[in-house]
Amino acid sequence: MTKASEIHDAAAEWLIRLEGPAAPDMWDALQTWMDEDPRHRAEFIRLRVAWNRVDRLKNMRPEDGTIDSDLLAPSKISPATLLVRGLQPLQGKPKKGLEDLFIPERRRVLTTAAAIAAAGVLAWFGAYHLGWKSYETGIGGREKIELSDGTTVDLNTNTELYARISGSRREIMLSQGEALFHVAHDTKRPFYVVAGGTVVRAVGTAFSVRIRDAGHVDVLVAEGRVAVGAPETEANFENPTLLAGAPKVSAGEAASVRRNSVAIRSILSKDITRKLSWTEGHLDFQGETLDDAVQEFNRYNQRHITIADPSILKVQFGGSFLTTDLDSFIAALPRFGIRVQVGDKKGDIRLFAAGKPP
Amino acid sequence: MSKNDERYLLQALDIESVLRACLYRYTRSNPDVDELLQEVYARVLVAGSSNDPEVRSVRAFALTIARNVAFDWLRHKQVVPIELVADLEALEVLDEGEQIEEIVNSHQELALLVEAIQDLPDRCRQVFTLRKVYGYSQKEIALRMNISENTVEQHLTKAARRCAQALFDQPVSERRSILFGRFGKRKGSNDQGE
Repeated sequence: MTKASEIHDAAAEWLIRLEGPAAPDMWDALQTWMDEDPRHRAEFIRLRVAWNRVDRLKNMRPEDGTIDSDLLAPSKISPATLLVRGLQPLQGKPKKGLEDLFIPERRRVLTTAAAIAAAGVLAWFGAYHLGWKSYETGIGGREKIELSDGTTVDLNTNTELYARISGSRREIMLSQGEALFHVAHDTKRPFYVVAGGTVVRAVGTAFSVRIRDAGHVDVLVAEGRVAVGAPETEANFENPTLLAGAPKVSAGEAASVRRNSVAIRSILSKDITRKLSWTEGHLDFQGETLDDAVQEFNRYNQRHITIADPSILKVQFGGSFLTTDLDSFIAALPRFGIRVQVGDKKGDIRLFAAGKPP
Repeated sequence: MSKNDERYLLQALDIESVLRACLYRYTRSNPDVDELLQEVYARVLVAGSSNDPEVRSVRAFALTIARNVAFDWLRHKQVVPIELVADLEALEVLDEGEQIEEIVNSHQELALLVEAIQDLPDRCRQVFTLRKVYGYSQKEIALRMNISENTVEQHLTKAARRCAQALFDQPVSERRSILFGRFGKRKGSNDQGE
């Protein structure tokens, strides 16, 4: 047996042993083993990363709740079921359609930038420790999960998050997208959400967190109160206690957190309901600009809408739609003086002011 | 250890097949590749936790380390393969983006994983399915399948090794053929000679 395979086997045994019945000195022993040789630590991390990635297989669990230990037996699983049950929910990540799978592409490496960035962010926020569970949805996907502390989380479209619940704290790493948290009340274990360098702390409350783009995070509080830390001041996830002066956001308020600022504004309760209607699969617009409405639809759909005429960006728009019902949205546009042109490549959609020549 | 010490390693894992290909050029032996790869990862990990300036491209960095590790190994063996000179030139152009066609694609990962799991012995596959698809604890699995917890651990250890292999240790070309073979032809664009 070579030294390499010895290390490999030992690392795999450690990984699995840690999931089993706990022995008091197990952690110390693991630390000792990893400190002996950086190859030990590296191989352990390699196996742990693989083992955690395997968690996405839970997407294949049948919805009717039946337990079948032969679910993955060769006789049961065909490429078709793989496609329908496993692949589609993950469709949105990377941001490419299914048909891209069939086209050999020399430089597909470019499309993976997001995946690598996510891995990098996770590492930064302390994936060094075990116990993180990952959850994700594709474009147009939506999922409700319950964490072991009783907290429920709604994941919106194209979202990825990691959760770790321990005896002393509850931690969420939102690496992409948007999520609504109904936090189970537990004063002994504060609940932290880290998103794009922003830290949100809650005890028992309901709030949503959305990553807008790099360095810009929105927090919307429906119940209770949370504390929000701006980037740079609170980027340390190993100990994400907020400064005493961290801004508080209460029920009926929304915070827009940017690199050096936290802007808090009040929101009417009916508007909060509206802004969270995605949890029911709806989008409700009441006077939002066309620009905002289009950006929303683009989050949920593979087909992309572009506003080709800047003069209509600020047209006020209204209506209620299913998030993935692009056709109804398009059908409503002419009433707002918008002309729709469906392009030939990939069904992309371009919007113009009605009456103007193309 | 600083908090970001795993960052480089996580990125390096995603180009494992490229690193293996690089090491194989020098060693021409898979057991030696396994050996050297662990050394590469160890050095990447150490570099990630040091206070050295940020590495701009972790992929290029990991490849450089792989080359250095291979050179050290050759020096140690005092054997320089004849084709080394040519290989060196070939390696110089091996640069990020151009020839690293690594695919970190979640669809594909899933297909590879499922295929790997299907190859496991029945009992091992069943234990794995209960643990990773249904989230049973090791104890629950032992009770349900009427086996000892120790046996459950052994099955899962085997499955974990297989998963790491499926996710990281796949030649690029093989990944492709699995994917395209599995889902068949489409648009006639993926089948060579068509």
